This record gives sequence, C-alpha cells and structure tokens, in this order.
Amino acid sequence: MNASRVLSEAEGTSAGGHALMTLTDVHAYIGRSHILNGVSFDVTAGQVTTIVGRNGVGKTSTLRSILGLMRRTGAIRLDGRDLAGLETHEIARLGVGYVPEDRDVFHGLTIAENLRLAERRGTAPDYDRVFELFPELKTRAGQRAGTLSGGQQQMLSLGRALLNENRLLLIDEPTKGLAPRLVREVVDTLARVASSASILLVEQSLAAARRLSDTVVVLSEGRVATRGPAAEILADEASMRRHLGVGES
Amino acid sequence: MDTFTLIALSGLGLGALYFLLASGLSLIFGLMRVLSFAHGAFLTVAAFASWTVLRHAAAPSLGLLLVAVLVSSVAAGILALVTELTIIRPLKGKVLEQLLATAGLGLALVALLAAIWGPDEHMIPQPGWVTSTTQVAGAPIPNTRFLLIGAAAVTMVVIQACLSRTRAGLVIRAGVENAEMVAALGIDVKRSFTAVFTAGGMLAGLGGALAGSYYGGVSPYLGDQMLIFAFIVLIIGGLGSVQGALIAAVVLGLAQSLANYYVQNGVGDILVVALLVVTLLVRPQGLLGQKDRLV
Repeated sequence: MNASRVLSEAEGTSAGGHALMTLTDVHAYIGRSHILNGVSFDVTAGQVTTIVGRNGVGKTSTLRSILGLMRRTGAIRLDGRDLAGLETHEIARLGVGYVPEDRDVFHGLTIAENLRLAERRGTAPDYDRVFELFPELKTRAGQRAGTLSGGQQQMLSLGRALLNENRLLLIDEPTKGLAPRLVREVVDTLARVASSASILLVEQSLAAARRLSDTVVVLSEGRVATRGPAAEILADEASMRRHLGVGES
Repeated sequence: MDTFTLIALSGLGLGALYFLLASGLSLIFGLMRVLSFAHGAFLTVAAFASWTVLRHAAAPSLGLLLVAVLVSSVAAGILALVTELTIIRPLKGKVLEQLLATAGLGLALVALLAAIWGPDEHMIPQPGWVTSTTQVAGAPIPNTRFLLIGAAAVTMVVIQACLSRTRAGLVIRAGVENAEMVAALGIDVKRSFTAVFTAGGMLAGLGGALAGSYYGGVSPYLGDQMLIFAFIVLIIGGLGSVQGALIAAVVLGLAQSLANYYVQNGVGDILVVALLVVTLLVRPQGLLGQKDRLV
C-alpha cells in the first residue's frame, strides 16, 4: 500500500473518496448461462478494489460486463454516467483501461505496434511513464509480441493500458501463470501504478490482494458474498476458506 | 517452348484474376469471419458496369478502360458497403445466417442482371493494346495477361503497404487476431469491418472489369464461376491470409491452364479440386493459414 494511502487511513480518511464506478443489480449471461446474479458494489476513486472468489464465480465476467463484452442487464455507472447502450470502444474512450486475464497482446504485431494501437485519439500517449515502468518494452520495441515470455507479455498488456490517462483500470489476474519472481515484479509495479490510479482488480493470490487492495469484494455463485476494507475481509480466515477454499495463498 | 510460355502466362493471368477476388474474400474472412457468397455477384455487377461504359465505343482508348475499371470498382464497392450495413452487420456473429443471406443476395443479383440484360454473353469492346499481343521468348502473349498480372501485383503491394504502414492496417492486423481486444482499446472495429468489406467489394469490382477484358465478354454467370475458384484459392492459401491467397492463386492458375492444355481440356478443373482435397486432408489450415481457422 502506498505511503499517501497509509497516511490517509491513519487520518481516518479515504484516499479517493467518491464512488468512481457503481454497479447495481448487474446480471450477465453467456448464451443461456446466467453468470452474474445481481452484482452490486462501488469502486472508490483513487483506490484499489479487488474482486476475489473461486474459479467460475463471475470475477472475469464482472470486468467483461463493465466493458460491454457480455450481454448484461442492470446499471453500471462511471462517474454518474450510465454505460447502458454504449459499445465497448465507447466505454474504453471514457477512460477505462483493460488488462485481460490472458494478456491478449497481439502476437503478430511488434511491441511498438501493440503500443501504437493503444494510442487514443485526442489524448497524448504517455510513453515516458510506460518505459519508466517497463524499460524492456523500449529496448525490445521491434520484437514480435508472440515471441515474448509470459512476464514480458504481461508488461506489454499493462503498458498498453497505462499509455493513456485512464480514469479506471480493469486488471484481470495479472499474476496468473507467472513464476514467483515475476509475480513479485508485477505486484511491485501494480503497487506503483496504484499510487496514481483507480483500479478494479481481479486477483486469485491472497498475498497479492493483501499487498494491493484497499477494498475487497468477495464473489460467490455470481453474487457479492461480502465486501469491505481489505484488511478486515482478508483477515477473516473462516470467510476466506468458505468463499475461496483456501486460508492462505 | 513458345506454347509453354503462352500457356504459363495465360495461367498466371487466370491466377491473377482469382487473386483479385480471393484477396478481398481473405481480408473479409480474416477480420470479420464472414464468408461472403455475394462476392461473385459483386464481380458480375462490376463487369456489367464496365460493359456499360465501354459498349458504345467502337475503339475505346486505354483511358476509357481506366474509367470503366474505376466505375466498376466504385459500383461494386457501393454494393458491398450497402450489403455490409444492411445484411452483414445486423447478422453479426450469426455465421450460418450471414452465409445464407449473402448466397441469397448473390442469386438475386444474378437473376436481376439476367432479367435486365438477358442470360447471354455480351461482347465488351477493348482498346487496341489490350487485344494485341507482345512477344515473350518468341511467344505472342495477349496483353490482357500482362494487364491482369500487373493489376494483381499492384493490388498485392497496395494491400501490404496499407496493412504494414497505416493505422487502419494496424487495426486490421490486430483485429484479425482479436477484434474484441481492439474494441477494448477504444477502437471502433465496426468501422474497420465496413471499410474492409467495402474494399473487398472494390477488389471484386476490379476483378470484374478485368475479367471482362480477359474473357472478352460478360454474362450474368461470370462471377459464379469465378467465385468457386476464388473460394478454393482462399481455402488452399489459408483462410484470412492474403499472401497465402496469392501463392494459391498462382499455383492454381498455372496448374489449371497447363493441365487443360497438355492433358485434356477439363482436366485442369479436376486437378484444382484434387489440390483442394489434398490440402484439406494434409494441411486443413491451408498453406499460410492458422490452425484455429480450419475450414
């Protein structure tokens, strides 16, 4: 957790304050399968809100629903603006960055082309910030993304989302499938990013969630089982065992 | 040797014609996962547009032929644009429905052309240069072959340049891999779909105008015959691969022409189908296709 956030909490105030995004009674579907069954929670501005839960409870579907990548009902508001009826690219242009579960970098494109593709019209791309966080993306700019290791692809996927000034970052399991050393690197980077961004994170690793989160939302069977301050929720081992099937990760 | 040169260059000309139709189909399938059965009809409409421009000229100039090519490409492009907006887009994600709808449109357009201008072939007047020959290694090669080969070569260069050097090309290359992620980056993929479908229609239009020159005439059924071979080129080259389509078009054009001449007329068509079967059995993703895009 960053220093300013620790200070804010010590003072009894929230680092951000207002609800940047509000989900109200969101239902989502894949074909005839009902994936989300009335999910409601807020994402506070300037904080990291982490969704945890067992596999298949709807964590990724929640992020995809926000982006309009799934058929959904209910209300999703970004800074008060209803996202209903907006297409995925329009939601992204409102300032929503996305780092998907499988990175989804474009394998046939070079690193430079992947980043160039992410440049948004009307905003100046912040290459300095991206290359400061991930110097390798600059030195390997001409390399095809498909030839990168899993960790390097994760850096590219994160870099792509950080190239623009986003109001909210949706980051889906950034440590999934990475070696322990790379997990530490990614979590360190996310901690730095979190100091200046609002993040809705999906994370299976409780250690990473503890390090990064301000607020935790626990999903179970497509519903919010519980939510609250990360320190409180993640310390409840009985609840973690019940909802995640683990005591520690 | 003279005969071989003539037949080989005629085969390359035929391959160039296949490529002009297949390249558009390949771009469309690569980005949109749509197999458009209306493209043969687009080619035919374009050929009739070319005939309309050239029919009253006793001895058309190369400039008028160029005008005919432009008119044909624009006509087919507009037809493709309307098709994308009114049929393909509303049926997005419904593969079978899109396939049936484009096939139905193709049949309807052919019936319409036959109703207006009759089912018979109409001769297209050509500029003197097009109907004359050029000596290559002692063989008199009809200039239409050079026209087609040149058009296909320029088309390939333009496609490659657009794909590798423009932002629109970058979006298409990325969209071929993962259109959903492109949208998540804030890019309106639907506009790319429309642009690519229209461009594919214009390529069919170019093919239609030049097919009229190659065959010397146009009938409502011209595109249907071409479409079958274009799809075979598409499958052998690899669905979604323009380079694969080029290689397959050259191989098929040469094999078809040489077999038809040196073995027996008609054997070339059988050979093309045999090559298709072998490809499907040995390498179902085609020459340069990806394994997740099997037929």
